[in-house]
Amino acid sequence: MNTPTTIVAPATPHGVGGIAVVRISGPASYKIVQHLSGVALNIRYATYININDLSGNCIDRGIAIFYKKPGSYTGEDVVEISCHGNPVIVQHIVDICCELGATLAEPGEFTRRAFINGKLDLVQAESVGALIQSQSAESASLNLRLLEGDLSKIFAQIKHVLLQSLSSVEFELDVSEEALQPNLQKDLFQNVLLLVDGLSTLLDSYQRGKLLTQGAKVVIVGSPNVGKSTLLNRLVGFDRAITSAEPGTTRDPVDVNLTIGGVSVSLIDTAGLRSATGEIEKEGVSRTLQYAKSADCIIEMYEARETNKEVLSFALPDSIPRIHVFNKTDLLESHKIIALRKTHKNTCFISALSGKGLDELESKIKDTLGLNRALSSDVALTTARQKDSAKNALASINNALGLLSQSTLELELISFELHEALQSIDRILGKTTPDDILNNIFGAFCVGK
Amino acid sequence: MKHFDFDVVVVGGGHAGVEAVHIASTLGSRTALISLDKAAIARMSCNPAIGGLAKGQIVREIDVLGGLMPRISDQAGIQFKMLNKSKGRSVWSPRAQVDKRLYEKNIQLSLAALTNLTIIQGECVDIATEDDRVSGILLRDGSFVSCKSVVLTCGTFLNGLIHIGDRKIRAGRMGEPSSDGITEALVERGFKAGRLKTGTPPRLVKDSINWEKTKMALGDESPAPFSYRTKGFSPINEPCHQTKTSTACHDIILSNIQMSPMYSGDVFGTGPRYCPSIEDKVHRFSHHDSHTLFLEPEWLGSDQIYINGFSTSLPESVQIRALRETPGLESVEFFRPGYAIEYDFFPPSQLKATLESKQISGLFFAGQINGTSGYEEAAVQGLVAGTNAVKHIENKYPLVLRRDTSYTGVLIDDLITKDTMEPYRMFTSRAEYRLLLRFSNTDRRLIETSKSAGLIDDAYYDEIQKKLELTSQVSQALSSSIAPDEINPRLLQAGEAEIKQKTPANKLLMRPSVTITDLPTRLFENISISEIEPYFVWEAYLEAETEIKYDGYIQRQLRQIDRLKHQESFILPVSIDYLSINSLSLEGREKLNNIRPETLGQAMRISGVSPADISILSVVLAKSKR
Repeated sequence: MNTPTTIVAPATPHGVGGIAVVRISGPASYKIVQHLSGVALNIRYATYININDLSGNCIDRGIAIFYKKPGSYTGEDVVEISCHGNPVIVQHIVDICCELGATLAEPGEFTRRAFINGKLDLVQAESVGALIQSQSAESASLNLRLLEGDLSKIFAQIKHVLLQSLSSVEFELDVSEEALQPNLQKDLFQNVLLLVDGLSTLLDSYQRGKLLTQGAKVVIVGSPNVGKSTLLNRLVGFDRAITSAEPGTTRDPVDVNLTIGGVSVSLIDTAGLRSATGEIEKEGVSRTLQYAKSADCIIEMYEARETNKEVLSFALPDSIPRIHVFNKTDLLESHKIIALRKTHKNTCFISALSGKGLDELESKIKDTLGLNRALSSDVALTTARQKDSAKNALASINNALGLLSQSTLELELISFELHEALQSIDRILGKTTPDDILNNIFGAFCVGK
Repeated sequence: MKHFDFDVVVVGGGHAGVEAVHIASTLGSRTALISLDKAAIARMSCNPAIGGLAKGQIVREIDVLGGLMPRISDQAGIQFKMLNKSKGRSVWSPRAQVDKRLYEKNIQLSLAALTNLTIIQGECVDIATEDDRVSGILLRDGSFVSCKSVVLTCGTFLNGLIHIGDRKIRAGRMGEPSSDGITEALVERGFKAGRLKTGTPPRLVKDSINWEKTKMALGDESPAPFSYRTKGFSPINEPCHQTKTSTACHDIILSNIQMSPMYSGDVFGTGPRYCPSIEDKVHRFSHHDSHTLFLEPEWLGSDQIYINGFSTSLPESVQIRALRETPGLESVEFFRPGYAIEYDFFPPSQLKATLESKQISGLFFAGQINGTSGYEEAAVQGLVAGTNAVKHIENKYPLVLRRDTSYTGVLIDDLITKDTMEPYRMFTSRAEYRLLLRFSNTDRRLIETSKSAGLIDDAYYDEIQKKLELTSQVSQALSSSIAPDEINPRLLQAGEAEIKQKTPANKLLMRPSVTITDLPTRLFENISISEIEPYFVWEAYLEAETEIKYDGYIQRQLRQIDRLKHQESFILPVSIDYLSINSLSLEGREKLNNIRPETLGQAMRISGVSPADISILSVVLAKSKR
């Protein structure tokens, strides 16, 4: 019980860059990275690792360095992972670490630990001081944005229900010397169900919220020469990728940004998937697979005339939603298209060259990314910190639900769980003190003999 | 002009003062108690009860810390009741109706037996200092008492002003003069002072009550004592009675509410919301048709009855008219009316966790002068302040209790980190580690601290140890296994699933509806309970069971404590200039500068100091250390 927690957070600023660093500090840091990479790290050696998610899919490759305590920034065991500077990847790595037992670092927590372990000298302290300041400024402005938004309203509602429930419980424990309030158990049960509902909905919205703030990644894959680059050029509105009749023209993935359904989408054209012969093309294919694995959506493209030609789609991760597209419909007679439509229900028929069917494709992309729901009025969790809070709160609330289902009402334990949930919510909305609850009691109940 | 010389001088003989002088003289200091009226020492000014929700836990803590209140309450108690018995064992709280006269008498006798205690009747008017250290106090008659530590426990006496309707009486309690001069003297030295208000209900003539119209309420059959010192505990069970206010009573109150000084704006002090006056209750909760009133004897065979729930500062005539609309009180007569009292207090953020003033070394504050309310809250502060007054002289490690080991720790930490706006009373919800702070494990929480501070002697330590040993014997016994046919009939009865193979007793106890009494008695056959009071035998079993049933929660609370350990033990330098740290939030800077917390843990609990402020503070401190 004496071991401190292991914390994780991005150590580089949010945004797209060359590389990003995720820092993990605490006794479990080594094990967590060993788990996600599958390799052992040497102390202070740069190790090239695969960064795998929990089902073992590689989401990125990067460099991990293990600093054994006390020879680290915080004075604890620290692992720093340098990955590609894509916010989606960074977020994903942080999420994986949390799943593996780390908790998200509070602002300034690395520095606090470094300080506690006597690791800071004057120069470091000064520079870190500035960093913390900017961090807290950032979190302040973030909180401000949240406070203006619907999200905070929902959290505030959740908090309100929590406070109300806690006040009824504390009234019983702290003030009342008479029989329990009638309907106490029933009312609490209803409130707790409300909370389960609210928090679950919020958690479901996390993925969508992340797309809103951090954008989506859509990767086009397919055999060589099915028209992937033509599609990209058509969607972006100018000739970004080189196109030619020669298969295998695209070797390096080509990346463009466009807006679909109000969300910034990074569209990536990749090298055609086939059993490549040349060295360069081979590397291109391997990169295609890698990109596809970190996508939010994959466009799997076929030529309408050769629909049964196998793409290397078996190599693509199943967990990522795919859109099947038949291209070059301009080269096919219309009755054949009608016949194909009957056998391929969920497929988009387009002509990248003429632009026909692109509206349908765009709408399909929106569907797949979940962008067709009314996003502006809808509410979504956007940061991993919010998700973490909601998740922890939900766990406590579920415990409370369990306690409320028992025949004997264990009010002090219910109170404990509700308090824990409140603390999780407080990480987003700010501190609740015992006085807040007492104030509530004094306001709502006639107390005192 | 007389001149006295002592080590420790305590000003005020209320519940804080009594514990302060008792512990100081027990610790070997030459101690003086300055009291306006020797006969009023340990007077219970308000309700005739000790303990209650959260307060009962404090009384137990006072016992393990060597105080007087628990033992004398056991002697003077006339009805004992465990509150919250249906609501979870960490909030069970013992309460006793107490014979006020016997309580006062027995405390005074205990003090008289202390060889190095001198009681001086007089009024303190000023504190003498040399280089910001206490050197003595000055009395109204010009006498000077030199000493090394002073504990101020002036209760409601500092510039006390009683209100009954528009009548104003300068007094510390009804019939006793107030104490003037100390506030002004301290404010002149830079102390901040404030004004609070509290109230008390009328005292009724017993024979004027029609008892047949009231409902009787008794205490527990087999009650819990407060003190481990109490032997052969079998107190009497004197009944209290209940009645309820009527709408006619409410109408009288409402139509005269402007005559209450609280409503006319005559009273400036803030009153406690948890103990509202009847006019407040009727006004704020007008949808309630009635409020319960409790009729409690002031002492055994008393001709005076305390009417709990009818605290008021309305004019006496209105009080009487309203009460006479209450069943059983149709022809009630008063010994004296209810009243409100305003008094000075010193916001306790000016104190260290030892209850010593940050400004003047050797000057301690305890009790209502710190803005608290309640006999128990006062007593335990007196105990801590009295102890530290001695430790200060001896230059020894002070007594500072933590929030995770005691309500006392919560109380004092709250006082010094929060700016109290109303009289502070303890609630169990103020303790974030409530599940760990059970009245039944007070011994385990505090015995070692108490012993090492010298507050209890070896004999008492051994006495308490016996119960702790019994608890571990019971826990040991609970690790043995039970065969299905030994327990299945009981499980069936309780609607629990039967067991199929031998199962450890402690595993069975994890089931919510299985209790230790369901287990076969053979488990406990070899346990010796000789020389332990029957009540504490029961409590040992209760604790052993609780440790199993609550294990998951206890572990979670321990982890919470662990997470904050570093901050709690991190001492902030006295010299730190918060106002010059520009990166702190403005509010954080001001709060930190006003309160000047002693540890990072305290700083974290100050409202308005954000987590970001704490991070910045940590970094700045690291910088200044080099």
